This record gives sequence, structure tokens and C-alpha cells, in this order.
Amino acid sequence: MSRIMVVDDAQFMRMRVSKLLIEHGYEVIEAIDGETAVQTYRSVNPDAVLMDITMPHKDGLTALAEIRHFDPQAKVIMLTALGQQPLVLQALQIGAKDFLVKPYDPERILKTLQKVLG
Amino acid sequence: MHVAENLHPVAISEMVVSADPADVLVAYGLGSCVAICLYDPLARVGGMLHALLPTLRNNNRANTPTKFVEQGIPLLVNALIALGANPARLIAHLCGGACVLTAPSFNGTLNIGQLNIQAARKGLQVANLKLRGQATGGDKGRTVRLHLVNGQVTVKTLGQPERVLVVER
Amino acid sequence: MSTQHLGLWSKIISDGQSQEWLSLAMHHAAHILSDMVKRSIKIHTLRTEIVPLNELTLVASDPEAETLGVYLSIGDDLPGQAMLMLSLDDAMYLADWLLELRPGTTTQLGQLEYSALAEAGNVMLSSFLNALAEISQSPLRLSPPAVTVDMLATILQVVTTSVGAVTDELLIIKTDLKDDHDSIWLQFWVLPDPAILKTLNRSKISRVLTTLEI
Repeated sequence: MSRIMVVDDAQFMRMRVSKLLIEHGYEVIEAIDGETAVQTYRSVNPDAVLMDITMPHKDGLTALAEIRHFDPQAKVIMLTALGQQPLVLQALQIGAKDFLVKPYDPERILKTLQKVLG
Repeated sequence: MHVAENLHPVAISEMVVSADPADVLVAYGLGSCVAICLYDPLARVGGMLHALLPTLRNNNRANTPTKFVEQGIPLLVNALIALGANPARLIAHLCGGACVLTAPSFNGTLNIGQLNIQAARKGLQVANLKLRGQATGGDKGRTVRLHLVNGQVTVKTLGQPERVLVVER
Repeated sequence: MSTQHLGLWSKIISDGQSQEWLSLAMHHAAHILSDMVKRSIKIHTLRTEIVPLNELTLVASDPEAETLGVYLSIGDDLPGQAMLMLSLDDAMYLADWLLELRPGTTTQLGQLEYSALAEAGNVMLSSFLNALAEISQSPLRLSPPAVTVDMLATILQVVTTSVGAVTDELLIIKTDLKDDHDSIWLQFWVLPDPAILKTLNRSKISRVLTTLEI
């Protein structure tokens, strides 16, 4: 069973994404901001990460960079409300495997996760 | 004898003074803003300043002095003197200065409410006015009323009954 | 504040096509919210106004009305603020929709409900800005949303604090939205950095765009 870390400061979003993943057979760990995400990644080593960008105490792009530095094979999908091209490119350059714009489409999240997990 | 009330809203950056005992000056929903209420019980004149920021800085282009606590207090005092108040008799109340919504803005997060409270205390001190009652800080908005009939100041927050600010002895 | 940043808002607000752009961008926001709640939410009115600070609460019939406010700060190329407002009753209804509960279930707002409402504001504003940013392909930044319930006057005052030092007026893009059954009404305000007021031709502001969707 694949273990996925879901990172978002909004409890509501964490709840929705977690519920979707659990219903489809994934194990879920949640983190409430970028700082917690980095620490949790180090200790838990999830198979993939779904991460918001706009968060207090370290945003998603900073956390992404740190996670990728720690684990160059890290599979991180950014999930965020603002979706301009410069931001998408920046995320991909830092090492995100994919980028989804909120509010997410459940099918797209599942498909993207499957693709990234390989 | 019941005196009919005339409600006079005091909006952001406004100052209202009155000698009419039927008047009630009201500032609605003070968040980080502060309302400074001054009342002379003998002359029965009073006024309220609803300020948004602590002090006008040199590089400000905004030109309403009553928007600022530091610049507004002397204006309030002078306006009351013009109505017949004796500054030595003025009773001061301070309300507001809450921190209602904390969102990290890109201007930096300053607790303006606290800065307003500090500026008000200092401004009252500079004007030799003693602060007799206050309802400040916290995270909830306040509506404050100054009743010209007797100088009573009442405060209301959402979900709470209106209460009188007791003059501290 | 760089002139480039002012330029983008100026362009959006006062260009000949600005009504179209704003309308389109706001339709995106309404559409996104509709998606989230699986119900039709539409724009009722959209207008751009210049409001003196001391008149901000003047139009409110009840300045002490219990109001939920979701506040966000916008950085980079479209600097400013945004506020989503609903009456407390409507906010609870919206929370029911967001949480896929039977309408009327939520009688009190707890952490999860606040989070859902904050996220609704976040997604609406992001969607609005995404649409506008298409015009320039510029980067944008949003603060995480902050949410609270308080008196209407208190919620409104929040937008004056960060800009009050440099202006006596606010430029507000005001949108009223509602669902098809008039169950909830939302007010969505976007406030560009008021520094742009110095660059705008005022005769081009204060238009009312009323849209009743079919």
C-alpha cells in the first residue's frame, strides 16, 4: 500500500484529499505546513507527496526544494490555487513531478498520483 | 425626564464633538482602530476621535490628521475647549486596538491595534489627560458609545450585552 | 511600488476592455465556487468604486451585523487585498455545501468549517487573479487566507489598516454573488493597491455592471 503525504495548511483541503486517497487504498500522512512537511518526509519517507504552495511557516516551493535536496528521487505533486505559468515552471524546475490547480478534480489527482508512482 | 437620543456615528478618521445632552456619539465595530472619548462633566460637553493609525509620518501623502491618534488627540481637546470644556476636567476613555484578522500581508505583520493603544496612552499623557476607563486589545471588534447626557461610555462586542465602562478610581 | 505593478492594475481597471476582463475573471471565480459546492453560484452585480475611508461602512444598513470575513493579501504584480463576506447564517449554509452536509446541519462554525470557508475565499480569489494574470503572464503571490466572524464594521475596517497611511480612499471591485435559489449571498471585494488611484482617469471608474445570468 503506497504511503502518501498530504500537505496543506487548510484542514478542509487535507480532509478532502485524504478522504479521497484513503477511499482508493492509499495510506495517508498529513502535514500542516512546509516546515512540518520537510520533517515528516525525513522521518516517514512517503512514496509520494501532494503539497500546497501557499502556506505559513515555509511555503510549498521552499519545502519542495528541501525535500528534493534530501531525496533527489522524491515524488512531489504540487496542488495549489494560483496556477500561472511562471509558478508552474518554477515548481517543475525545482523538481515537482506535476502541478494541479485547485479545486482539484478527484479523477485527475488519482490519475496523476498513479502516473507519478509509476 | 427621558432625553431622546440622537445617534451620531463617528466613522474612521472622524472626530465629533457635542454639547447637546441628547447626543450619543457612536463608533461601530472598532477593530485595530481606537476611539478616544473625552467628556467634561461640568460643562457637559464631550467628543470622540475614531483613529485608524498611531501617527502621521513625514512621508505620508494622506492629509486627514484625525486619522492618526497622535495628531488627533490635540485636535479633539481643542475642539472641546472651543465648546466650553476645561481640559483639567476632561475624563478620558479608550476603546479598541484589537487584532481581529491575522493574515501575513506583504507589508509585514504589525499589530496596529497595540500601536494605536500605545499611541493613545502616550497622547493622553502628553495632553495631561487621565485615562479613566478602557476596553482594549483582544481579538474582537467593539462598538463604543459616548452618552453626552452624563458622559457614560458603553461598549458592545458581538454576542455580548452592552456594558458600561466603569470609571477606574 | 514599481510602475510596472501599477501599470497592470491600471490597465485592468481603466482600459476600454476592462469591464470585460473583470467580468470574465469574476465569472471564473463564481464558476470555481459553483464547482466546489456543486450548485450554481452566479454574479448578481459587479462594479468598481472609489470609496473614502470614512464612508466605508456608510452603506451598511446594520454595521453590527454578524459577518464572516475571509481576508487575503495579494503580492507581486497585482498588489492589493481581497475580502469575501457573508452573513453568519449564509456562512453556515455555505459550510454545509462545502462539507457536503444537509443544508441546515451546521449551527456553529468550528475549525473545519472555518477552514472550508477560508479555502473557498482562497480558491475564488486565486481563480479571479489567474484569469487576470493571463493578460500579462505575470507571477502572483497570495497570503494564506485569514477568517473570522465579527461585526460587519469590524470586518470592513480590516481593509483600511494596511493602506490607511498612504490614502484616504479605497478602490474597490465589488461583486455580489448568489445561488439560484437566493439561499446565500456573498460579497467579494478585490481592492487593488490604492497607489494606483494617482494614475487613473477617474471618469473611467464608478461604472456599474449588472449581470443577471440566464
